[in-house]
Amino acid sequence: MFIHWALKEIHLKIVYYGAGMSGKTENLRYIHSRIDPALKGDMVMLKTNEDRTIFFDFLQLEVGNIDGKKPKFNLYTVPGQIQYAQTRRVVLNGVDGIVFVADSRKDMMDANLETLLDLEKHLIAGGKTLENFPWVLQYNKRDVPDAESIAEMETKLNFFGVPSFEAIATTGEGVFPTLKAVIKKVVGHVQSQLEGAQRMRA
Amino acid sequence: MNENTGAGALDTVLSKGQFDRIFSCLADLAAKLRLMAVLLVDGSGRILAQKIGDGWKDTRLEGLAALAAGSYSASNEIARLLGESARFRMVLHEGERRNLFVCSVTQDFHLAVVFESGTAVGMIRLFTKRAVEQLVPVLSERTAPEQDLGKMFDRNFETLLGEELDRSLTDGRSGNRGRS
Repeated sequence: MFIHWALKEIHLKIVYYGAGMSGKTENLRYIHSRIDPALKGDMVMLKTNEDRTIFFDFLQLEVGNIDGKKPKFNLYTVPGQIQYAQTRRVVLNGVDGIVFVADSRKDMMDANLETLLDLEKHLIAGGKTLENFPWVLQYNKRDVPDAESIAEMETKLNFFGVPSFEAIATTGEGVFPTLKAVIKKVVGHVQSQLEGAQRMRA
Repeated sequence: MNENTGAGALDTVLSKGQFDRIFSCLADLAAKLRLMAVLLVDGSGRILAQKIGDGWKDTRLEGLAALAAGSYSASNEIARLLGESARFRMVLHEGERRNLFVCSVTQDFHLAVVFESGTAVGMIRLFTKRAVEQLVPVLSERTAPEQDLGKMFDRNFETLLGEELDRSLTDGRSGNRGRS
């Protein structure tokens, strides 16, 4: 998080994390396509010739003036493929909140779990864990014919009971509820950290 | 600069006094070298301060900042893979008409400089080095007592933000099929 007192800006970094082809970029594409142009910057996409993310996608959002303050949200995706582990670590630098995009296809359950463990490994390297960090789950691709049941996905992935959302990112279903939830989690997390610090001082 | 709340909630807080001094430093650098733009960015690509020259029309440089920070971070990973014990000192992207130079200010902050190809890289390196020496002490200062941060993130802010998010992030769908 970065607070710019002079400009009354609060910058938050949200990263969409998930296995390859789980729909992270589609989330950002949908958000970019639906947001008032005055509230968004250009979307940056770094892709291979096969349209796979090689480094990250980036989009900055604003939501106007809140009680004299200007929150800005920097949204990033990571490359999901296994070989880009170091790149994911770079993108996670300074992250404030995470959307974990899980692929609902039955044959992706192992990949989802592996990727979640990969995320926790990177968080631990930065002194955080999935238990004490603000994140939400998105069960994407709910429209595929072989979609795993939500109950099964909750059991396999949502060990910590974080907010979870069903989504079809290509049509936009569930995209905004997921984004709003992670922003609220991040702000709530900062508040509780500040209150905790004040209690310790008192 | 790094605000220690005791619980690690905040990474960076920039006071008005710090911002003024940083901006003054960037403005001097831009004027001396006739830069197209100079940005101070953090490791995650957020812009702390920027000075845009007359020749630059786009005033939204968030994408450039994200890419510059990403590029510099990637170069550090490359240095590590090559067995370098320290980071690369700088990254230079050389174009036909415009160049981008990125160097480290501290471990957490980078300076990104956009300049025309006619300007000697040596001059850029010399003057950015001097600017870095001015910026380091400013960025090292502690700022903003926690009480003020509490005001920034009071419950009223949370409520108003929630309402604004509902207004701004909408696509007319009802229901969110979510669990929390």
